[in-house]
Amino acid sequence: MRAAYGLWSQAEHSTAAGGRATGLAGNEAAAVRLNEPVHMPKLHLDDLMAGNARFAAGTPTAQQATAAGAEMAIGQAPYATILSCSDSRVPVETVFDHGPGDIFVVRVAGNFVNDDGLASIEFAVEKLKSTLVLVLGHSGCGAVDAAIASLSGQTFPGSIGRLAEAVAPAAIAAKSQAGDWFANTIAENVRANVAALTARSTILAEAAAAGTILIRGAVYDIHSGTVELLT
Amino acid sequence: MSATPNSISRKALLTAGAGLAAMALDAGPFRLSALAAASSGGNAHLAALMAGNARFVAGNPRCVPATARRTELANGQAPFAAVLGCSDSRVPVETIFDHDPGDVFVVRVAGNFVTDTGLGSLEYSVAVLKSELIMVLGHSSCGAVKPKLTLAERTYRCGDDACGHVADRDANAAANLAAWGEHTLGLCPCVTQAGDRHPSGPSAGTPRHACGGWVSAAAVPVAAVPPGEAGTSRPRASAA
Repeated sequence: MRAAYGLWSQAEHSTAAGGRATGLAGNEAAAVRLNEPVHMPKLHLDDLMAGNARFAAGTPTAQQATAAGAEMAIGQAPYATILSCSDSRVPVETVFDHGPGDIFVVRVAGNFVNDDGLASIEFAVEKLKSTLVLVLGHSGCGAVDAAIASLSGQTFPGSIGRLAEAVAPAAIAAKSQAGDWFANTIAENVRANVAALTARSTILAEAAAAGTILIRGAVYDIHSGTVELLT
Repeated sequence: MSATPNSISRKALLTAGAGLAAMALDAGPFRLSALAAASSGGNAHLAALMAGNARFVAGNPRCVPATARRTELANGQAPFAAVLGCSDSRVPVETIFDHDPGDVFVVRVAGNFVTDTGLGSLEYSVAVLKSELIMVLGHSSCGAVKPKLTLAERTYRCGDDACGHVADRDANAAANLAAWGEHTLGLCPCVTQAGDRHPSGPSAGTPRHACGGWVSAAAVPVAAVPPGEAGTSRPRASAA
């Protein structure tokens, strides 16, 4: 599923000076750089979104990607890293019509950043050289639903309450927004965790500021099958 | 994969409740056998997952239209299984089990260990979504050839180009010895895959299953997961 991007040198997708000159935080600077015509992480984002379009249209091609060849025993070089939800309706590779080896995936119910997930993402960026980090929320998220319910005093058994706690700040932030509270919380939770990645990780913040990675948020619609990028 | 399963031993193991550890890929990685007798919900679901893995390994996944169940699933999910897997890009859970959206609830973190919120996610899958099977899915080494470690180095870390897995060498050695012993006794042919870690081992010459895609049995029914026995885990980070 990977296109050959060797045409562009490392220097051409490093825009550290431009990013810093704007004075923006890492992820904001990365978003600004989306406008640049030739940019490796952006091409990778395009690749992901094209895969989602194939999936949503019911014409995936990755089904042929079965147990892969010997090269994958040597190591992995996933170009994208995705923090997504555990929800069974959001199988990341399927949704993006990608095969083994393409995407490094962290999944926890509520797609929020925790210490161990952050370590996983840092590993993917620092060691595996992923250039795109995507936080993917989705419609109908049970963890978001639990977070909203928790604001009304509902409690949950075992460790389930931790999920609600983690998403609750987004529910609080979204409560005053116009429109649907549930949908707004889903998007707010993605945005908050996009921000958390650079706020909590020097590795990610520096890579984003240097333009070597792009960090974006998106929401998957479980009904239509489409992924919509958040701005 | 030359060992013939000892059916008596395997039956005894099943009876003893250790059956899932003995679940075998009979006479090679492409055929399942012991699972045919599985009857409880969890075992049947495990059989379904393993059958899907066999299709994946054989290069013969089903070609179910990806859109088939989307409308139905938009109203809710009822995943029959929950899998705790690694973030490694070579282990896309649904792909290697050849299952569809809606089938499997998935928690992934590099090293496939239990975290507080990962545990909450699995509990949600069982308590709310009524999943009947939890599988902790590790994967074979990352394929990179490791420099020989000195005896003083007691922790194995998967290399720069690999998955980041960290393991205690003593625990790993114990697991390898157990696997080797089971293989030698013909108790569990599937664990000959542990030999993949040893190029001269009993499965030398067979595909390395990181790329070959085999899944060996390391699943336990929900009710039988002993707390604190989730296998080798890396040192915990500080609490969130």
